[in-house]
This record gives sequence, C-alpha cells and structure tokens, in this order.
Amino acid sequence: MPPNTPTHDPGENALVATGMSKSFFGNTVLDGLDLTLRAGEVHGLVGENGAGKSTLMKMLAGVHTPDRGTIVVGGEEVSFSHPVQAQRAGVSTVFQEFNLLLERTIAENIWLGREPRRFGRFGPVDTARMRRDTEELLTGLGVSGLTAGTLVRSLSVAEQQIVEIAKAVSFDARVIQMDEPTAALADHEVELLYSIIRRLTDRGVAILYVSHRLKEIFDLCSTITILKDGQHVATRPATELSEAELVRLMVGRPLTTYFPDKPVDVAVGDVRLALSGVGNGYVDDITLDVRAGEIVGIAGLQGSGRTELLETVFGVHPVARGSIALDGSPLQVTSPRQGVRARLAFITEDRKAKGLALNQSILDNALGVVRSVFPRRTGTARREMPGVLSNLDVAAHSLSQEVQFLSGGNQQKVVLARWLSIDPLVVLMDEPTRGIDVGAKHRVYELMRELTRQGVAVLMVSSELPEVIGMSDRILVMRDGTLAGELPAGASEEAVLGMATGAASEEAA
Amino acid sequence: MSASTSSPAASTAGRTLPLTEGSRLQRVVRGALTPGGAVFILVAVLFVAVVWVNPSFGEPPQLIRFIGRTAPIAIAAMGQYYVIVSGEFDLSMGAVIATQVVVAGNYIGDDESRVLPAIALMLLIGVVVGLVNGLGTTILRVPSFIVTLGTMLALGGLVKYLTGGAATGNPVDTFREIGRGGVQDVPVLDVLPYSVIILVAVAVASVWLMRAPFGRTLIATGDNPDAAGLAGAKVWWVKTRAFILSALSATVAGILLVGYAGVHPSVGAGYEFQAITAVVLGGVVLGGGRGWVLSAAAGAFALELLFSFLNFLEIESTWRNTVQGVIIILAVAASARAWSLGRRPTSRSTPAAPAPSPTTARPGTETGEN
Amino acid sequence: MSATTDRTPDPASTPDAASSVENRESVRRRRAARPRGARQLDSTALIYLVLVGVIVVSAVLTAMEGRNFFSQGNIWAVLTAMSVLGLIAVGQTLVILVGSLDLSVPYVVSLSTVIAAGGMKGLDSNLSAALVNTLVVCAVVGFVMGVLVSVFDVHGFIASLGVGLIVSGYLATNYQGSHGDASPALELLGRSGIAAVIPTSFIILLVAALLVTLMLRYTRLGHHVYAIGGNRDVARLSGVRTALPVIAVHVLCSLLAGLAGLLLLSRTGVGLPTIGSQGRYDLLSIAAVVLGGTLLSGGKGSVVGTLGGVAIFAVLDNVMGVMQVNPFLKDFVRGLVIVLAVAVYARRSVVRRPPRFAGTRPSLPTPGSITGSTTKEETA
Repeated sequence: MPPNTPTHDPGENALVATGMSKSFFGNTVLDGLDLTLRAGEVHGLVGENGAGKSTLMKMLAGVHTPDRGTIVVGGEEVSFSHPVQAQRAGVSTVFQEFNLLLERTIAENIWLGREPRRFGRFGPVDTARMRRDTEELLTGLGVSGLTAGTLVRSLSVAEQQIVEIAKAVSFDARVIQMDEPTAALADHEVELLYSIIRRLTDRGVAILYVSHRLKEIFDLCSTITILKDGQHVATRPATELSEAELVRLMVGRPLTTYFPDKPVDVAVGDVRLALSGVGNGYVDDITLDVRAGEIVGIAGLQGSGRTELLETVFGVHPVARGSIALDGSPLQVTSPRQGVRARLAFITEDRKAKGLALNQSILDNALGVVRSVFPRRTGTARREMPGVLSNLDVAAHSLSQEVQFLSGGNQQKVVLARWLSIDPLVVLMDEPTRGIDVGAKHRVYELMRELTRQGVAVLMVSSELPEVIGMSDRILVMRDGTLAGELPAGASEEAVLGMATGAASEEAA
Repeated sequence: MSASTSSPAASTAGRTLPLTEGSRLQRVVRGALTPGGAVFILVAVLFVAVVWVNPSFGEPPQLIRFIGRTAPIAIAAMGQYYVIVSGEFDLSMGAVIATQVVVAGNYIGDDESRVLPAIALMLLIGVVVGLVNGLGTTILRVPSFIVTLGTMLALGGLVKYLTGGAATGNPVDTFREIGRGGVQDVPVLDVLPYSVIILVAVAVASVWLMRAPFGRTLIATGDNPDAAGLAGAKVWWVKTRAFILSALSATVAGILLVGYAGVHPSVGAGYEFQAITAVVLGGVVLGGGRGWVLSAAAGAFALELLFSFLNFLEIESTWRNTVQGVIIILAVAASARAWSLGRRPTSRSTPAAPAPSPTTARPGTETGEN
Repeated sequence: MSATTDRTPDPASTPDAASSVENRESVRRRRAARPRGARQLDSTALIYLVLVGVIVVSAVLTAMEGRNFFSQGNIWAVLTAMSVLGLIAVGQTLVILVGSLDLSVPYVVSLSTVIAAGGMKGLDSNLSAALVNTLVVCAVVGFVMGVLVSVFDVHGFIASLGVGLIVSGYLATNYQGSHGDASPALELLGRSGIAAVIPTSFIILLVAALLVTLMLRYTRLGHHVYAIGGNRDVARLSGVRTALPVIAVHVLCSLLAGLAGLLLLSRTGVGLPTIGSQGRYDLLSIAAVVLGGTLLSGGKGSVVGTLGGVAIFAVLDNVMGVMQVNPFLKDFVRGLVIVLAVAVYARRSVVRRPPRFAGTRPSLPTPGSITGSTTKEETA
C-alpha cells in the first residue's frame, strides 16, 4: 500500500477501551478506565508516577491482560494475549526502552518475524524488497538520510526512536502509543518527532501520547485524559485546560493523618552531608545539604535523575564535577564499599533486584552488609539482630526462612535491618515504601523518625507525593537531572508536581 | 501486597523470632527433602545397593579404604563447590592436578628433604593458578569457563612440554605415603588411611569457612552479585578467592593421587568434570546462590558408590563419562526447580516472589509505574 | 553479516526531496548526535588485517629457517589444516550466534570417524550408506542438544558438556583403537586437489561456508538466529518462535562436525576414537569464532570472520611447526591467545549510551537542549 494515502477516516473511533481494570497481588493499579481514541487525533495521557498510565499502555499493547474491560479497535472487539496480536490488530507501541536488536540493520529490525520472501512460502528472504519497503516507510514519515542498511547500534537515540515508529507504522497501525517519547531527545529532534506525528495524524492514525512534559502535551494533543491513583479523573479538550489546571487535576487528595508527627525533641544539628555543584553524566550542578536529624525529600518525575543522584553520593557513579562533604570533611567515595565504610547506607529502589539475596535466609541477609565490610563485628551484630528484627516487627516463621517467601513489607524491613547494622550517619532511601502494605509503611515512617532522633541525616527519594510532603522537613525537586527548586515542609502537591513538570504554577507553598 | 501476610505469620510480629522453625527432627526432615539433603539419602541408598551386590564392601577395613580412595575427588568437589556457588566454573582442575603431580615427581625425586619445600611450591602454584582464573573472570570479564579452559590448555601444554609427555621420576616413598599410607594397627579398621584424616580435616575447615563471613558473602555474591556489590562486598576478590580455594583443593587432591597413580601427566584428566558432576549431584545450583559444601562432598561419594555399583555389575568403567554426562544434564534440568519445592514454609503465606501474571511484562517494555 | 554503514545519498538529490520534511541542517545535526565509536573499523576487516600481518610475520620467520612459506607444499598444508577446523568452526559460529555453545564437537568428530570407517570397511560400495548413517547419527546428537537448550532451558554450555561426556563414554567403551577402514574413494578425496595447491577438502570448506552464509543472510531462519542471539525477548515479542532455530543450528553444527570427521578419515584412513579430543577442537573452534568477531553472547558475527580466525590459527600452527616449536608449547600459546582474544572482544561489545551531561558542559543546561542525550532511564 502506498505510504502516503490516508488509511483511516478521520473522526471515527480508532480505539474504544471500556472499564479497563488491573490488579497485581491485591493492589488495584487501574480501576474501570474508559478511553476513546479518535482517528487522526493526538490524545494525551497524563498523571503522576503510579497513576496507572503504564499499566494501561501495557494492556493495550498486549503485554498484560486486563482483569476486566473491553477493547474495541476499528469496530471489532479484540483481546490480546501476546504483543504480536496487538500489533496485528493495529495497535502499536513505542516504549521508552526500545525493543531493537542493536547488531542488526534498520530494515532487519523493522521486518523481524515478517521477513518478506521471494517465490512464495519457501523462497529466500527478499532483502531488496525489505530495503525498498523500509525506505518507503522512512520517507513516508518525512525522514531523509537514513538508509535501511544502517546498524541500529550506530544510530542516535532519536534515530532509533524513528525506527521504532517506522516499525509501528509498518503494521498499518490505527493506533500508536508513545511513552515519554521526548525524554531523551534534543530540541531539534523533538521538532522532527512533531512533524512525524503530524504526518501520522494526517493519515488518520490515532496517537496516544503519554508524557509529563506538559508543554508538549499542549503542543500536540487535542484531547487530554488525566489519571490519578488508577482512577479516571477527567477527559477534556486541550483548549479547555491550562497547565496549572492540569496539575491541579493530577493531584489533590484528601489529606491523611497518616504520617507520624514530627517529634518535638529532635534538634536538627549541623550540616552532615553537603553537595556542592556535583555533576557527572547523569546529574548536573547539584548543591544541597542535609543536616543531622533532618529528613530531606527529593521529589521529581521518572527520569529526573533522583536515583542517579543517590547512587552518586553512595559511590556507584563517580563524581565528575563538584564535591561532597560529610560532617565537614571532604568525602571521596568511588565504590559502594567506600560508601559503607564512610557509614552511608543506601536503600535501593528495587529490593528484589539489588537489595536482597532472595535465596538466603533473613538472618544472612540482615548480616550481609556487616559481613561484607566489617566482618569482625559479625558476632555482635548477630547477637543484636533478633532484637532489631523484632523491633521492626518482621513477621516470619524463623530467622532461617528464605526472604523470597516474605511479603514485600517484611522484605523491606530486612533491608532496613541490614543497613541499620552499620550504624549509619546518612541514610539514602530510594522509594522506601514502594510495594509494601500499610502497616509496614507506618513502621518504616516510625523508623525514619527514630533515626532522626538519633541524629541520622536522611535523604529520601519518593514518587509518592503525600509521602514526600508528609515526611520531609524540606523538599527538593529534581527535573531533567538538575535541581528545579526547593519547597518547605507541608507544600502542596500541586506546588511539588508543578515544579517537577516545569509547569507555570501560580501556587507557591 | 496488603492482603498477603497470613495470620500465623502476622501473629509473630513484635516477638523475637526463633533462629529456626520447628523441632530438630522437623528441620532434618525438611532438609532431607531439598536436593542438598537428598544426596545424603542417595549415598545411603547406593551404599546399601553396593553392599547387597558385594557384601564384603561393608566390612570396616574395606569401607575405610574406599573412603580413602574417594577422598581426592571429594576434596576436589568441595573446591569446585566454592566456585560454583559463587556462580562460576573451574574447568582447570584436571590440569592443576597434572601439574602438581609432575612437580612432585620431578622436583622431589629421591630427595626426602625436598618434600616440604615441594608441598610449599605446589601450594604456591595453586594460589597462582587460582589468581589467574579469578582475575581473568572478574577483571578481564571473560566468562569463567573460557578462562579456566584456557588455563587448562596452557597448563596442560606446559606440563607436557616439561615432561616430554612421559612419566618421569617418582617421588620418594615418604611423599607417596601421604596418599597411599595410613595409621597402622587401628582396631576394627586395620588401617586408617591418611587421606581419610585429611579429608575430614578439609571437610571441617570447609564447613567452618562457609559459616564465616567469607562463606556467607560468597553465597550472597552468587545469589545476587549486584546486591552484594551494593552491600560493600568486593565481588572480584570474593570470586577470586573462590578460584584460589578451588585450585588449592585440586592441589591437595593431586598430592593424594600421587600415592595411587604414580606420576604421569594424564593423572587427574577429566577431574573437573567429575567434580562438577559431584557438586551438581549434591544439589548445588549451577549459577550460584544455593547449596551446601558437605553436599558436594556427599555427591562425590554418591558418584563413586554409583561407579562401584556399576563395576560390580560388570559394566565397564569406560562408561563413566556417559554416566556423568547423563547426571549433569538431569541434575541441571531438575535442580533449580526442586529447591523451591523443598524450602517453602509450612504455612500458607503467600510467596513474595510474584507468580507470573498470565502475561508477564517482558523486559524492554518496562516503562516504570506510571 | 555485520553490515557496514552505507554511504547515504545527499538529501537534496533524493527524488522525493519535496515531500521530505527534514532539511539538510536537521539531517546533519541528527547524524552528529550519533554515538562516537560506532564508525570503528568493521571487525571482519580487522581480523583479515591481522591475518595479513600474521602471514607476513610467518613468511619472514619461515624464510629465516631457510624455507618458503608460499611454496606449493606449504600452502597445501595450511589449507588442509584449515579445512577440518574450519568446518567445525563454521558450525560453532552458528551455535554461538544463537546464544548457545557446543562443547561436544570433539566427540562428535571422533564418533563420525569410527562410524563411517566401521561402515565402509574399506569398500566403495558401502560409501554412501556409511555416509548417511554417520550424518544421521550426528544430526540426532545435535537434535538432542537443541531440544535441551530450547525446550528444557538448559544452558548450551551444560547441555553440550553433558552430551559430549555421554558420547565420550560410548566411544571409550566400544572403541579401543583404530577402527574400520575408509573406502578408497574417500581416501582419494583426501589426497586430491587443484594444481596440488588447493586441496579438495578446502573447497568443501568454502562451499559449506558459502551455504551457511547464504542461509544466514537469505533465509528467515538465518535472520531469526541473529535475532534470538541478539535479544531473545525482543525476538519473542516479535513473534519469532525460538525453539526451531536453536534446534536447527545445533543439528547443523553437529552435521558439520561430522563432515569434518569424514575429512579427517579421508586422511587417516581409519577411524580413531580419540582424534577429536586430541585435536582440542572445542576450544579452538570457539577461539576461531571469537577471533573472527562473533560475540560470545550471540547476535553478531559472521562466517567470513570465523574463517579469518581459522586461517590465523592454521598459519600460526604452520609457522610453529616450521620453527620446530615444541608441540606442547603450542597449547600454552593457544590457551593464552584464547583468553586474551575473548577479553579484548568482550570489552568491545559493551554498548554505552551517551550520558545526559557530557563531561565538560560549562553552565546549567536548559531542559531539552541536551544533544545526543539519554541516561539510564530511572525506572519507577
């Protein structure tokens, strides 16, 4: 089919999803969402981290099966149990992490699994036709200067994205989903993406555009759907919304008295951890300090560099520019081991992947850090550990139970015990209460307060706005690898999210 | 995860957790159901089978001699265990044994005063080989089976070059006695071979080592190298020490083997595969993170008992390799799953490891929790 | 199959320039954002460059011994040496490309010689039956390994190690020394060649290499082999059925090893149960494949590169023989070369995404103005 003729009537419904719901292990992640995508239209999907955007995308992409809900594409009801089925039904997705084979050419990537053959079913692969079809696709998108025979590995990120889009188009997609497409693009590359999107909509393709860059949402989208906590908040034409209004719709929960009160007896002491102009490949010009007995929260959206900041402090990434000081003296850590020796603790984002050895027992995991860095203290730590664990309310059958059989909350408590055993001066926490039940969350918050009472400095990254606002003495907001600003304790969610997205917000603290 | 903790577990919140669950008997039974424990049962079963076919095997003097003969491979298996539990492989054991055997023959010769220096030299060689294997795997980032295959080739070539491919020199009898001899006039047993004493010593040392911080860190590294690194372990040094221990075990095995086999460059050939088979039979998971060191030794005994059994059934010993191949394949295919079946806690608490939803998210489509 | 970056046409000269949205400036800036180092010398070209260097050095060393590297007899010897290892290495290339490994090749080679020789019993009339039998057995061995890897999820290293041991035990039990007798026609093949310079066995290698290369390039199976080796999950996402290509390459690898055994038989005249393990074909074939630029983890590489690696080993062997280097020392050198080769190539394969903030960035970058940027995306 010639690539430039319109493929679908504008205005008709390309995709109608009704009642989409999904739960993981009893956690409802998405609840009864309705979404209508019209041909030739760019539909924006916004919401903070954890709102359910990615789950919805994955269901439409055939990666997850919905617990409830129907999907109708082009008038026909469909269900997907494998991503290939979604593609064949005309729903293609461009994920943030590209699904490309780096060592293969553009053409080979696009036609993977569908390589055209000469002479019918058993003939050889028609590489000439692959090349021609690829070039047609690329020019159809308005891109020149990319040849079908280029290895994907040698392309820039923007070019790789173009390959992903071309692949989506090659399935004759009615709907193309894009997840944070400009996260890794430079200005002029974003322009190119805009023009590609315009071409696609001219041809009647419906685009679901997921992004936290509100400027782009307003540049491109004619309709915007807002999600919050797995629920549908609103679907409005873009013309009826402003950035501030959008942010307000994204947040705004009833306040909870969920967080332990700040203890009155904590004296915030001297500056314990000080970063000055710190930068490397991941973050730039970070200047902040954390005092003893203080909890500093770091908010920001996905991809803003928060985890990389903690990793830099801990020694996972080297500091290329600027300096770090601990209790006044310069801190030079070039490895986690040095970080531990300096009495820094790092509670990682993903406890199963990087925080625990799942096949080992509770006791072995809890003693893991001490054994690795301070082996002589193992005896003492071993004696004290049962007390520490019971203080944390770890619920298990015995200390020799393998941690993989514990609930998320209990696993996180084991992680905490592991790090408490080195008597840290600074505790770096990345999403400390992700994926754990309410009771365990409360215990973690209480622990954080106890730590401040002991004079520990806490630097906490969190995507949960209530948590950041409720627990932090001060809130720093990161955006695109640098600090966007600072807000005092008790700031509104809109103020935090507004600073994180860069939306002009008339609301101050 | 809000609804996932079961009530029996939840009721323990706040009280100090016991070290282990259940009575001693319950623990033994649970342990026996794991692959690491089942191998001991296998040893018992095979022992019975061998005695049934050849009753004199069960007589103490015969039995203790059998244990003495099995000591080298059991020690090698324990050495291989360290490497495998850390997630690697050591295919150079056979070449190390050959090297040590040749050193023993050539360096000691008839000179008794050289025995101790020779042993020191051999241990040094073991350390060097272990260092090369370890650094090649961790610093050069070459897969361990390639590094150790390369070491095997290089050492093998070097040894053959130095000996011209033929058996040379027999070390003095005192040295050979280590492997061959024993404590005489022991009641019931007649002779208690030195190799058995050495085996017991090595086993005790291994158990102690695995309980020490090094051993626990070793297993944690094999289970999750990323988490271990973030916890401050020097992963490269942990793994390198495992390779050194492996090479030293091969050295000790070599010293014992000189007693039986004499000095020939082909002594110890294929030992690494026997050791791996023993370790795998002992329920240690290839890829690291699970398994007990004594199970590896038990696996060696199970293997030797199996060979004895087949021997008595007059199956040629040339089938050994085939038997090993079959065991390796079956054990690997079955082992990883079997561990999770045996260790599940007795109550109905939901495992934290997610059961895959009908369509598990595939890597490459992760967009985070948006 | 590592395609080099094509020369791109000048954007203004493309016929449909009017419909292109991109102007020249945009194309130029887009290209400027490409990662550095992507334009390094193609690895296949590199290996042949090394080969030329090795040949030059060898010619010099040979001349110093008073002999001529390029004499008819010597070239014949080198090419003959290449043919056996070459066939095995081509098979190993396939298996490594798909992300697996085959350590059983020495035993399959030995098995092939004894089965074929035993079947022929020195008679031409038995030739074809013996050939068929041999190749069928080899195919079955490969099939078993392929199934273990694809269906039972056993890593190729273990599966082939186990199968190799099984075959080794069978050989040790049933064959104690030379066995059978090759048919005269086969032996004639072993001696024949073109102008006494190019042995027939070498031509067989070239034909096999060509067929495999064509398969990799022009069949879906070949494309899928690269895909599965490159990233199994991406392949699955695109609907590629991963079991079939894995089984197919293991069967092909064992068939080629069997063919190599037949070539050996044509020279030795009798079946020898230890000829495979003595030749150290497992490690050497892996080394040749790695030297030739194929990634040990799969997904990238070529048969052409492997042949270059094989040639390097053959030339090195030849010159070491001429210089009368002790054969056992050869093993030492080989072991060293293998480890270093993998180490060097392992570094090369790491893909580093360009950092968000390249080192010497002076002031605070405004959002969106960062070129060629991405970080390891912070996954929530």
